[in-house]
Amino acid sequence: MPIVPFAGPSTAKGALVPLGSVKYTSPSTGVGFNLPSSTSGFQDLYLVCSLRNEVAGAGLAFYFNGDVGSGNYSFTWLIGDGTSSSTGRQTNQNYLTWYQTASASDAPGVFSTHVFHIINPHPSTTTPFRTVLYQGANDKNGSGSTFNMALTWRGAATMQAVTVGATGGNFSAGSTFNLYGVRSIGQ
Amino acid sequence: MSMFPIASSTIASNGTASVDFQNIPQTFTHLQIRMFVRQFVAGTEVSSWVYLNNDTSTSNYANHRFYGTGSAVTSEGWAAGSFAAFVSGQPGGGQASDIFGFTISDFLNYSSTTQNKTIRHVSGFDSNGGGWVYLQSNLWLNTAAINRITITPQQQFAAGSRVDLYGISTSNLTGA
Repeated sequence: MPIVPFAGPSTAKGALVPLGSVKYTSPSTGVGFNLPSSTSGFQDLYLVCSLRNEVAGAGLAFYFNGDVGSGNYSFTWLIGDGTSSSTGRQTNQNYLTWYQTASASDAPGVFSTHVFHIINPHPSTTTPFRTVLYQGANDKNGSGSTFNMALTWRGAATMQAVTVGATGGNFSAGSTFNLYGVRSIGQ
Repeated sequence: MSMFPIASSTIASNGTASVDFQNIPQTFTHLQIRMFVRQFVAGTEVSSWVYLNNDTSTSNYANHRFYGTGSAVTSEGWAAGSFAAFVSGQPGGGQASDIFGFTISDFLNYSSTTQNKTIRHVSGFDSNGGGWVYLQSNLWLNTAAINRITITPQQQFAAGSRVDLYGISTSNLTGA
């Protein structure tokens, strides 16, 4: 494969481009990033969230384009809780729901980290679906979890929005949502 | 920390036997390869070999992996002498043709000439009824700087696959 010579720090284009950032100053239900048409210039998207839910035991919902009723999501996960490890799967889901999230049942100031690698945002006839690799760090000082997940969204539409919402109540003040585009060569 | 694209390979037709990045610049602190791939010939879940500096031996690589299939968790490892470095969690030709997986591979301190090299992989895919999720590592028992990385799929890459190489710098680059 041809290697593109590094143009140097003053002229080289970085691969990670900030597309959107939200930090809550008061509790709210979640963030939907409407993706600009310029996201066609990115190979992948990268979404990083630091979250805490105001309702004990509540989690997050994750979906694309407001697609929450067509059973287009499936996911497989691997998780460890400090004592044991397990794996599981859900098929034909309306969206991702996931409860490994810091919440009001945890000590004040405890937030969990959620990293979504959103792959193939621009579908083609050969690659019609979107793949997400999702990793989380949810340590609660004596309990908690760490996990890795693969998710497929079988919606063939152009990706126009990505949403992280609370499954119940609101995300706490201090929760953050940061979306980046990942450029490839020539983008 | 800044991340820069170095090279990219998009697979246009079924049957590509490898992706070979040569003459990798020694400008960065770490490397990252991002693979959106499926394999063509056979298998439900398959692996790719990761050869460094064209070293295809089994004697210089050790491997560990920890993974879930949705129904079982497995942790396993192999000391040097069993396999070359490999990364798993990629869909094979036995999966529906529209199922692709994703792999992120980090090559730490790749330009060091005093350290053996460690590769960390996160990978997986879901096919709505099947799926694999992996955490995996490789050790290369060689202190040479990495200037070539060859990704060789077990069952040939399918059309639509792509492999991208990035450099990660910890110097004060703007990356704008």
